[in-house]
Amino acid sequence: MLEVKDVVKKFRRRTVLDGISFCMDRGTYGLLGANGAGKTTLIRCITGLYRPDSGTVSWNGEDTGRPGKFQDSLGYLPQRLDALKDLKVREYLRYFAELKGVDPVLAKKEIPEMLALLGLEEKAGSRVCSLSGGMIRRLGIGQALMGRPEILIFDEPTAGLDPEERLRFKNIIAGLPEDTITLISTHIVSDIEALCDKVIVMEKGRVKGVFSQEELCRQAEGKVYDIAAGQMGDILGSYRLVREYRDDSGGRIRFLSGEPQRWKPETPALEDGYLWMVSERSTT
Amino acid sequence: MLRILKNTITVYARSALLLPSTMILYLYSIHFAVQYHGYPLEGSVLTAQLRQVLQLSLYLFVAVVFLSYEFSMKFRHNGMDEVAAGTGLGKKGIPLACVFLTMTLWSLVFTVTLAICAVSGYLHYGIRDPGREYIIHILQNAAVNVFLVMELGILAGLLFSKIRNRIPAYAGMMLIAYLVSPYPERIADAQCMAGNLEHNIFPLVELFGILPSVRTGFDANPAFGESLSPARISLIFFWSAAILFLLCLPVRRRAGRLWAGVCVAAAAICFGSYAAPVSDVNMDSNPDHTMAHDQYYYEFPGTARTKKAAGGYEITAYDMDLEIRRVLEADIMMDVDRSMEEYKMTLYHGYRVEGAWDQDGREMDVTQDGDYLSIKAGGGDVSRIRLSYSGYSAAYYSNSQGIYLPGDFAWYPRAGYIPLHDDEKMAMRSCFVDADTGFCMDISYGGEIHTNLEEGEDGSYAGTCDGPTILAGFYKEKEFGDGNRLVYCYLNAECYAEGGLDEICREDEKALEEMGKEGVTIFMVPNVNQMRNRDVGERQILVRNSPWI
Repeated sequence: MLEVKDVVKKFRRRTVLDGISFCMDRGTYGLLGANGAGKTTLIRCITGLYRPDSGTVSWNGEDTGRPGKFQDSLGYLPQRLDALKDLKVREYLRYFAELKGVDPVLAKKEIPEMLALLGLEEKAGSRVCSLSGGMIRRLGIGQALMGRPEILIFDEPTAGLDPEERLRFKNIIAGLPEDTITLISTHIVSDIEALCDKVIVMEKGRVKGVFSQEELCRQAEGKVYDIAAGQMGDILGSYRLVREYRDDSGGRIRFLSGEPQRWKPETPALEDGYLWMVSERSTT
Repeated sequence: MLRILKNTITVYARSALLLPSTMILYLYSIHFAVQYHGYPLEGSVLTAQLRQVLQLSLYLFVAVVFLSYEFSMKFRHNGMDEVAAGTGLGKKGIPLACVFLTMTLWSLVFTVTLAICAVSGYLHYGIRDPGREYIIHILQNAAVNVFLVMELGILAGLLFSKIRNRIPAYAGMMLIAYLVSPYPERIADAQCMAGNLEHNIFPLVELFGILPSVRTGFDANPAFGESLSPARISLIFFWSAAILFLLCLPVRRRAGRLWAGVCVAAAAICFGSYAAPVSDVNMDSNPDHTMAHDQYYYEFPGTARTKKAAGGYEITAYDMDLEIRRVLEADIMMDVDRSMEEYKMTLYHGYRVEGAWDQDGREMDVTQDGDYLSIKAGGGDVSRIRLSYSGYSAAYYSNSQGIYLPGDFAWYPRAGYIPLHDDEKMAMRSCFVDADTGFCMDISYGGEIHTNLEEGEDGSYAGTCDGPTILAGFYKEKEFGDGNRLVYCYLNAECYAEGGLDEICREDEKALEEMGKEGVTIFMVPNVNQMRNRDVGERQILVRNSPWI
């Protein structure tokens, strides 16, 4: 179990994490928040790159900031990993396996399996710099998976990926052992929908709550409306625009409002629940 | 870790920038180092082999700072340090440690290659130096001025790679390149020449003086070789420890903090060693160094440093305990021919008197003013005076690398006040003592000594002479004629030419016959702050830069 307790982190005078607390046991967790919410900082505190100014991060009771079993059990893909582009794909995986302390014999056996999982067998002898962006990202996921870690942390793993790569990523995550703890930090709600059992909602350095998908959706129960764009003027009180879109009937808007409206509320989606949890509700 | 190192080397080898740049640097270095190979045996061609290598120090240092920076950047600010921090027992430093090791391999390649260039160039001439001491000197210089300097450059590049933005990082590295180059010395020199000795900024400039002073345009002293000053070596280690401290500082683990503490301690010790007095041969414009010190001390407008006054007594014998390491440490017992209340003595101002005692151990009051001592008796008759002092002269060096203490120089006390400097001729005077003066020297030194006193079975040097001359360095001796001896630098062009030495001895013997002298020791000494070609004593002759008298 990974436990984050009252973690505070400041950079100069700016408080980036303000008393974060939550626990993660088995399963896949989504860390959902807008840009600047503190997701990456939180992840860096968990991995030990940053030391919290106060509070603790512990893995099975051990402080993750000290070298120990946590680092042995961790697989981590940072937001940006474009190092070692001069190595070949196989060499790249071997490098990280060695860095992570994976037994060389096991690593030798694991690398071909990993290449197959990532769909990179044909590129095993190619240099990393010759791969597409999506392939490099896959390779990054591969280095995180080397050694079959007990806990996996991915920071914005699908950012910039095309739909096919994102689907491939989802399939990889879905295929992980059940007892793995996975934390996926993202601001893309659809990734959370596809993969995560629980959602940790962050806003401005704070955790708003840890929810299952259903619980998060229910936060916006009775508050979601979907109307024709031309009816915007009839909205009562303040509201939060979720999105504008077009269908066969023309332009439509989906919005959130805490005040009863004349239309029938829609069934809330995950995105609705997330947006309702975070601030900035009013647009009028 | 070996596999990580292997992959790190692979990254270096496959880089479009790093490997080609290194190869160009390597080939250029070899080309530069072998420029004097096979030249005719004349002039300073023997020592030129090593000098060429040392001139590369600046370029190697600067190049390696930038290469190390660019190589380190492949492992920083791109997610690599995040992954390393969070995995493998949190050994964040492993990728960069492998960067350091990879660059160190290159340092070794450069060092070995350039050492081979210098040694092979030297061996080509077939000089038989005793115990291969000059070859060892070449290897030592390569170790310090190529390897250690490059290692410092690697660490500097590693440190600068903490700066993500290349513009400030490059600006910082260019500043470092400027500070270690000869250019700041020129500013300091200009300031001193303008009369601002009170604002001498050489000490500040020399904080970055990690490179050998082959760039200053002064000729080297072949008998001393290229300076391997413990002060400069300590400075290199000081900066290395300081950089390592800054690299270790962000590490929060106990081991990292321990290393940081070790680095601080090491830096403090090294800085202490750097700042401690040391005799050296520094051929530059610093007012405190070889070429300029005496000029500034005695000749600077407004200074009147010389005195003349009879002592009223004679020193008839000296019993000297000398230890020569970083500086000369002397404990000298002098027999005086009469008991007086005050003894005026002359001792070069670079030697600081620590104490004076009479033959019964009574402390005597000593006042030191420049070159002049006033020693007051502590009560009772005085027949012997013991003086303890240590220090060095900028021009007449005495350190573990070499010794140049001529008998006509006041490195040992003289009776009375004697002007050591001739202000009209702007040179140091030749001040021999009476030829019947007795000397007995016990010298603690790590190398071979050449002196005009006879060595006894107990290892001490004793006899009567007009002043003990002590030389150590790249010297050999040759006996000729009627008990005459030539102490010569075997790296001097005239000495190593085929048949040259025999001809020199023949000519010197003729000259001695004309002078009516025999049993003479001819010392070939460096020419520093002197206008005279030779100083002639009773049974010793000091000739400068040439064995011809």
